[in-house]
Amino acid sequence: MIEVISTGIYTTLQDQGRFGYRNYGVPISGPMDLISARNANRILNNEPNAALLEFMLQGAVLKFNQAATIAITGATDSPTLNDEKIAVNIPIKVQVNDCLKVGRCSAGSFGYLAIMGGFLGEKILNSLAHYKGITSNQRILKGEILKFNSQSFQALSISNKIELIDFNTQEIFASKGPDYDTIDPKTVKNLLNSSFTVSNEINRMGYRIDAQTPLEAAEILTAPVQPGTVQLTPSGKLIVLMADCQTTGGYARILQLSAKSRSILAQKRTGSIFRFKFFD
Amino acid sequence: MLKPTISTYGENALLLKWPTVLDAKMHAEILAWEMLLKEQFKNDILDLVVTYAEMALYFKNQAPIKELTTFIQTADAEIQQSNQRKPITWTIPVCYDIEFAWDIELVAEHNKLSIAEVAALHSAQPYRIYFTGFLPGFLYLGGLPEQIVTPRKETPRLRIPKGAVAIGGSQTGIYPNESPGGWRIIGHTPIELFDLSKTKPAPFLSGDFIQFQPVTRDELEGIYAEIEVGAYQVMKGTHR
Repeated sequence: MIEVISTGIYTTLQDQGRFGYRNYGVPISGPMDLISARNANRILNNEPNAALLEFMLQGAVLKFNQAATIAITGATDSPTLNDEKIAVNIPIKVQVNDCLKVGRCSAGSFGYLAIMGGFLGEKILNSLAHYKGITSNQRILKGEILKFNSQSFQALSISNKIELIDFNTQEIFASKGPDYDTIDPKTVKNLLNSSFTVSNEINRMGYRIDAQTPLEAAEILTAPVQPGTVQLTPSGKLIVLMADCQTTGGYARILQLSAKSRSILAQKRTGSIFRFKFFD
Repeated sequence: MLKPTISTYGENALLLKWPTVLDAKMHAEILAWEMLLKEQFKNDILDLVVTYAEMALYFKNQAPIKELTTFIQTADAEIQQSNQRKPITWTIPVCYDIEFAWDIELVAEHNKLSIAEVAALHSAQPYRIYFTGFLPGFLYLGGLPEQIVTPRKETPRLRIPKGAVAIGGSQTGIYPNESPGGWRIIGHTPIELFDLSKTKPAPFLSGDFIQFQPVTRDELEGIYAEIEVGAYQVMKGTHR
């Protein structure tokens, strides 16, 4: 058992996501930075769908009442165990009564904590991923007791490769979205030749992006959207849909990000500047 | 039988596109294709989302674009269409009482009608369910009478109550849970549209119909009492 002494700013439980219910309008959820979350489970030899904690900007403080093996990944770069600095991206053994301070996500926006065996939680529609209106809680609460599958013991294997990504890259790779061919040449030119700024309207559903140059597109007949879809609103703003996004939308879908590109963008904070590049 | 264009949509998904129109007959054909593709690629498909004129197929692994293209070229969805499940008309009770219908006066004024006429027009005919989207359990319904079309609020409300029946432009729908929203609220339904305790959280399928049935405040209380003891059943019939 693990006691949540403090939660950080916005901490959620995430597995790979809630699949099979998008035709009911249920978002898939899952980690904002899929690559860092996958790394955390890989380091511990967990199954890919093992549930982990996602921290936004500031991590939690956790008191362990049980020994465990953990891994911290993503933008978190200064975790401590009993006030001693510990490393990220490697397995860490935690003893009974240890106090883990995950610390700030200084390298970006989201940090991850995986535990050997995976966290346990309320499984709704086949997933533990927190989502308002689906799970009883939409995030981890102060004082909550976290349980994990401590029966499961995996031998650690050094052969499990992790993929570290550069959160600071200013190039976000994309492919053409379903409505790309309907936008006018001037918008295409501005889309590919100017830089963009992450606005302050960002959450797990989507990131609003400010354009430096005018962009234009008409609304569309409501159609399927998915995480990584880049929408262009009639007001000329871009919205990049993220993990908790709706399943259908009425704005032009001009670009589509890969899981990796979406993970990199998710780590960018308000004010970050980037450009779109096409995959070759 | 219209065949869609096929393109890749992200890493493991394909997007099938039909002509961009809101048309019940074409939509019925899309649903026939949905059944056919679900069966043919049942081991590969993770999620499938149908809208008015498109279908997104999300696959567990790399999307089998070649196989799917060949299949669509050779398959005959017309046969499938005749084997499709008969559409169901679900009767959904709605209380148009002013206590719940925050905007019904405005809808009436906007369209130069009385409140009673708005309620009567809204519940006069069944609406086709095109798909579920926006929120878990939010049904996109087609066929709102011209006479009660009302533009959305310019600034959405932060809180629309669960069960609110509303009009947004030429669309109508029900808020399955409390959420922000810009539609004009004209009534309230006690029916649970999205039930997490069930494996299939909603019984309403694309291609089915919703018939709103006006109920008084007293009748609404009665329905709530029946729901409370588990005695209430949503009325359903075969759509004619």
